[in-house]
Amino acid sequence: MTTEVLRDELLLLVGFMLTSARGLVEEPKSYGPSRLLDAAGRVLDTMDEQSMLDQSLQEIKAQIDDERFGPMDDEGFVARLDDLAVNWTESIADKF
Amino acid sequence: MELMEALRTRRSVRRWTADPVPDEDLKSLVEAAARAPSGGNTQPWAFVVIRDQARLKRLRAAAPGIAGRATAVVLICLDKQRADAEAGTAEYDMVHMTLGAAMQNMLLAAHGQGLGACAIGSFHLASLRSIVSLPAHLELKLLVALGYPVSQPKAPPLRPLSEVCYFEEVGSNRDH
Repeated sequence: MTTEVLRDELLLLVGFMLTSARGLVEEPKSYGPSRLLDAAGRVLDTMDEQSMLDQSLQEIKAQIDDERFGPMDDEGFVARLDDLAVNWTESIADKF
Repeated sequence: MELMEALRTRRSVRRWTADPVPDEDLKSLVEAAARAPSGGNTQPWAFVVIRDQARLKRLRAAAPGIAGRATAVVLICLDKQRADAEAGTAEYDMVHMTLGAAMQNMLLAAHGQGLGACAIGSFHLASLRSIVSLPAHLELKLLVALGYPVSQPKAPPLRPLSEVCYFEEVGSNRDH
């Protein structure tokens, strides 16, 4: 990925975050976590296209994608978010 | 595909392959939408089909409801000139419901053609108007994002019919 393409991807992500911020003022409360998950997924999509994800991050991306692209299902949603947060924390422990 | 099977198996698809949808198939979806019933045959709609990749990228940033990379998006607009002239303000609720019927026709037609689609209500109106240069008399109400599905999403939980359907009197569920 060239710097120019990366810049474009980041610009689009900024747009997504801005329009999400505006929309969430009036949208259902549950859309907030969904938008943040989608933003995380979009970042990971870009990283994946650059082969920047190891196995553990690939697994986290798959979990996030299940939430982004599957039907909205409140049951167990908070527990799944907890799992995601813990898995992510553990997966980056050796990177920092 | 038989109609009830289509109704039972349709899903909101939010993840698509990169394969473009042929223009003929897109036109067929709009034709299905434009066959929706409308009060007084008002037909108060306009459809804008977006399939240019650069424009789709900008649109996805301005419409947070589009999670995946759709290969086409159809904007379902209220034609206010037509609605005002044909329906009158008393019928405005009906006019909006008409657009919902058009959307459902489009979703079902997409499913029948092997496409996957999702109705989107989360978008930043002013940004989208800028991206597609909508004239003032067209008011964007809904988007349908579509393409070829990566997979069939699982069925969402549905309320049982006994909870939402009554015969003769509300509260009486003895018939089912």
